Amino acid sequence: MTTTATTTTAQAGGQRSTPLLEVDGLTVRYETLRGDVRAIEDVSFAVGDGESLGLVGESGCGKSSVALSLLGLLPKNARVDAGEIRLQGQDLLRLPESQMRKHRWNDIAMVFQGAMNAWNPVYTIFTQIEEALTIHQRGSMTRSEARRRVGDLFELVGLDAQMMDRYPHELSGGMRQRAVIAMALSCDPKVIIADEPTTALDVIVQDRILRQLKRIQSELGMSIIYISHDIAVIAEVADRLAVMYAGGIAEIGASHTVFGHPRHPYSWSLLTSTPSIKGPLRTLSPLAGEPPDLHDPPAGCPFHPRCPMATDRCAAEKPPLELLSSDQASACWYADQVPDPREQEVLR
Amino acid sequence: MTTSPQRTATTTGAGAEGPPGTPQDGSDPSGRGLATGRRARLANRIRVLRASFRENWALFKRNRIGVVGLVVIAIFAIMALLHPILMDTVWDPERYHPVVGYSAQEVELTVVEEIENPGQEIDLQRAQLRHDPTIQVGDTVEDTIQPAPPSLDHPLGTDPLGRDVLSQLMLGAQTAFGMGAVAALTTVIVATFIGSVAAYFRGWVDTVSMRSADFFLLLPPIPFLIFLSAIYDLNMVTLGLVFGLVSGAGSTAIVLKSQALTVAVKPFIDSARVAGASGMQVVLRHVIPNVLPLTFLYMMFTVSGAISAEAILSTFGLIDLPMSWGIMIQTANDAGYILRGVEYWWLLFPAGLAVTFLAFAFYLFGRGMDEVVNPRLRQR
Amino acid sequence: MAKRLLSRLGQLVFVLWLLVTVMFFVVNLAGDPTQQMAMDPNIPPEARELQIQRLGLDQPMHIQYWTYLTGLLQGDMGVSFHLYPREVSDIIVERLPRTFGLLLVATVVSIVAGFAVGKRVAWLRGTRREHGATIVAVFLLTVFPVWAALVMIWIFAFELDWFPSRGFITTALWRGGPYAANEVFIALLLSITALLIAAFAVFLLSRRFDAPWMRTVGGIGGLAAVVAVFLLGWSATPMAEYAANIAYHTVLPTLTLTLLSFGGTMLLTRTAMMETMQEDFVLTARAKGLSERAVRDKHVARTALNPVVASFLISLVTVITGSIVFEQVFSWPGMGLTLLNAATEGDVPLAIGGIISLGFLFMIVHFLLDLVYSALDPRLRT
Repeated sequence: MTTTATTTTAQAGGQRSTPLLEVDGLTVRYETLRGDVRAIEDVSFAVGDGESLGLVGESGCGKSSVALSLLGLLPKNARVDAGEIRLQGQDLLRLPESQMRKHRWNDIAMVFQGAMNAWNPVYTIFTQIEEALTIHQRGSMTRSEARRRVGDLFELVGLDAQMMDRYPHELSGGMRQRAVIAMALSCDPKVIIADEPTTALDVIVQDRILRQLKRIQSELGMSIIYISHDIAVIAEVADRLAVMYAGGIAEIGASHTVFGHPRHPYSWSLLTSTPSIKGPLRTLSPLAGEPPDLHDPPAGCPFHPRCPMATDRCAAEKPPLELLSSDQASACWYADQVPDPREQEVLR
Repeated sequence: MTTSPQRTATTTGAGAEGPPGTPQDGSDPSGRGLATGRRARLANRIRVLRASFRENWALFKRNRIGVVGLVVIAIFAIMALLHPILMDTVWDPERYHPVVGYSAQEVELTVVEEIENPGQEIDLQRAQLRHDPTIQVGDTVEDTIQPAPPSLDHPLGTDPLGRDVLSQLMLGAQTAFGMGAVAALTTVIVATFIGSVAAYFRGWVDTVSMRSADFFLLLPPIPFLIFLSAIYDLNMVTLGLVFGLVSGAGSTAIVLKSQALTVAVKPFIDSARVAGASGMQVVLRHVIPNVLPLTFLYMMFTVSGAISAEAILSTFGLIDLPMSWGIMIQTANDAGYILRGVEYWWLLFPAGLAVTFLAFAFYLFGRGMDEVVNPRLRQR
Repeated sequence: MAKRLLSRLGQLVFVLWLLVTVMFFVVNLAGDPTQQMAMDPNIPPEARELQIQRLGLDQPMHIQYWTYLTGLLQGDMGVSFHLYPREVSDIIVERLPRTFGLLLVATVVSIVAGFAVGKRVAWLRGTRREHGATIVAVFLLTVFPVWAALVMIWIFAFELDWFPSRGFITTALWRGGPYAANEVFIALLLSITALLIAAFAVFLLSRRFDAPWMRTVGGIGGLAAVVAVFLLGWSATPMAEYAANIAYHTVLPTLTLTLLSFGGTMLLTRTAMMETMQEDFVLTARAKGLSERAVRDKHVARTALNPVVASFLISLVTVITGSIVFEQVFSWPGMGLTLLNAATEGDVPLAIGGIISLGFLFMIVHFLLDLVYSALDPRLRT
């Protein structure tokens, strides 16, 4: 059950109206041979109409699992222990598979990580996009209509219409990425999840793709959830930012607020450990240690073993996500004591 | 002499094993469990082997298919081992020898028009011929009949030549295992060598090996063996060798080469080369040991094939063997008992089923091992 | 692509040449092949002299080899020892098409069935049904063919009396009839090949339709039409009765052969499917909202088809071996039985001819498979 406080927290930094997509207290665990892995711990966030949210964190922090949960594509050994995922008020988690299938792609679509492998090598690009169209338009779209639609989509993402009759291996990496975006847009979804949209692409192409996404988003009024490990890149394109650690949300809020002055030691470490081309020169303080083994997470705050500010309280009690301002929420007992990175020592 | 250079001698003297400071009694002052010294190294290696064996065994056990295969193989192995023991102790060789034994059972038979119970009846014609020309249907005679159905003396009956079927079956197991072993060994040696050499040296060695592998692929082993038997006399060893060669140099070599390729590009190969090992040495000491598990796996499939091949060939009378499962079927076939169906079941079923089950078992075992060795097939 | 196929063809020709050469040396190492002739009382000594001359056995090795090779290319493989005085090439021309027919039908049916079952079984991974099906498939793969054939005969020929247990034709029916067995058989073979090609063509064409419903209707309707044409055509010819007789005798060997090779294909498909199921595009397909069945068939199975076809060559070996065994047990006079008899009788020219012709057949099927394979995998087409 959502309380008003949680809704507000979940929407920190975003719109005040009824959100389009709400994740409420999601807790997921995987059953493996070596024991249970607590992949997602009590995660709540919300995305409004036309908003973009960035979900960032290290590998293994649970962000991909969150994406899979949204689509109902968790692997067979996953168990949803608690929580709801509401799309326009309807709980998706407890829908039967046949119903969920109707929502997939039609309402929520995904731009996959490593778009290279999202394509089946034996079918043309067009065939694979048409497939999605056929399912959701219930076969009423003729082939010529489908071709026109795909042509429009290609124009939107900046691809030559000729490419649709090519096979995936005939396209370059950047082209395949655009094609994946086109495919995601094909059924006019309300939400797009972009899972590591820029991994394995060089920086120039990266920039182009992200700008394209942003443009498409504002043109079509869609909501986007970006999933990435690269906080700097995402902070630039997303309206809001949620930093995940060890299966939970450490901090969430408006991008410029979180990026400018993070209120969680983890986000702070992330920001101060990556150099920025644009900002002033400063000393880097890399993050020591490794993310926790989720088979056996530490007690209290999951970050406390690596946290420079940790105290006994941190080891004993797990801090909840608390609103600090209308723009920002953090899960740390000492959120207000996190220093401003702009006041860091500047290298000469 | 009061000088006692003991301490220095033990640490730096000749015969010291390991770096200076190594305790000579194999004890472990570092407390890290890293004892040095040749004996200790061997102990370590055994420990690692045992641990990995245990881990692999646990994985293997999960797959019931492989375990079933292993059990069946064990059963046949026991049969093969038991045979000489039985021949020495319980069984009288004159009656029970699989090749030259003869067991005549005098049974009381009823004379009938048409035989419906083979062990208890004799047809009129034969009775009149062999006993009394005046004999009628309904009378009884004492006669020996071959082949005899199963009885207490002969649990699986006797074949048309009066030999005990069970004894034949057990000896056949020996032949099957023997030939399987020869074939498997040949395949392992040939395929591993060709595959590793081709993968490591690349270039023309690779091309030649792969082209010849194509040739061996194109050569179905059984037809080829049939052809060979027209010209040469085949026995167990030659059969195993040829089968192993064709199988090893063909499909198995190709598979092994791709596996060896993944090993050949690993950094430790480069470091071995830099350390001064010659090409051949690298292949022998590094590539081959890493490819062996896969070879062992494919060996199982070869044995399966070899057993079937031998049975087929000896059923057609093309092999020079005194006794094997295939020969059992051939004997029965030549005497015309096969197509009588179920009446003479002990002539057809034991041998045929034995071949089937053993080949089947080896294949299952290989399949089960596949899931251990091939990481792509593992379930989460 | 044409270049690739040409080079493949060249490779296969090379391998065939290698086969022929190896045969030559294997035979020669064994000594004088005409010894058998000397011992056979039916063959006059002059015939042996003639054969020695013809095979050039009194000449140095390299000349022998040359004669052998040129003879082969002209289709002269000598005279059979035990079917004297028939020419080996003659015998091959008569018998080889029969084995080819057997192989063709068995291959096609077992691929289609094995694939269909294999993909469903792989999808059920880990369940008891999957384990059970796998065990059955392995059993079919490793069962002793002779034993299996005998069991089939016993069930279908003796107990149920549905099919004959041996032979190619019922001689009584054909005696004095207007047709030679081989004529009718060839006609039957060609028409079945035409049927298979037509069915495949219908299948491909139906995929080009614009609307989905038309594709399904077109496919099934087209297939039914092709089969109907085939059956109607045959019933109209005067050969119908004889063709049916041949078919009647061929069903059981074909059925047995199909059953045994089915197991191999099924297992191959299962393995390929299990490896393909781990690919990323499977997740994408699910995310698009495809039903489980669609994901299985359109994506995983379709992609797994490639390695299955590629490795079918290896199971082709089993098929050829099986055909030899079954021809023997069912007394079905194809090339396999001929080879076997030649071997038993020590008829070296016929044995050589047998092996070479089987190898040739194998090569053709291999080449055809290659064609199919590159048609299936677009990555190879460029």
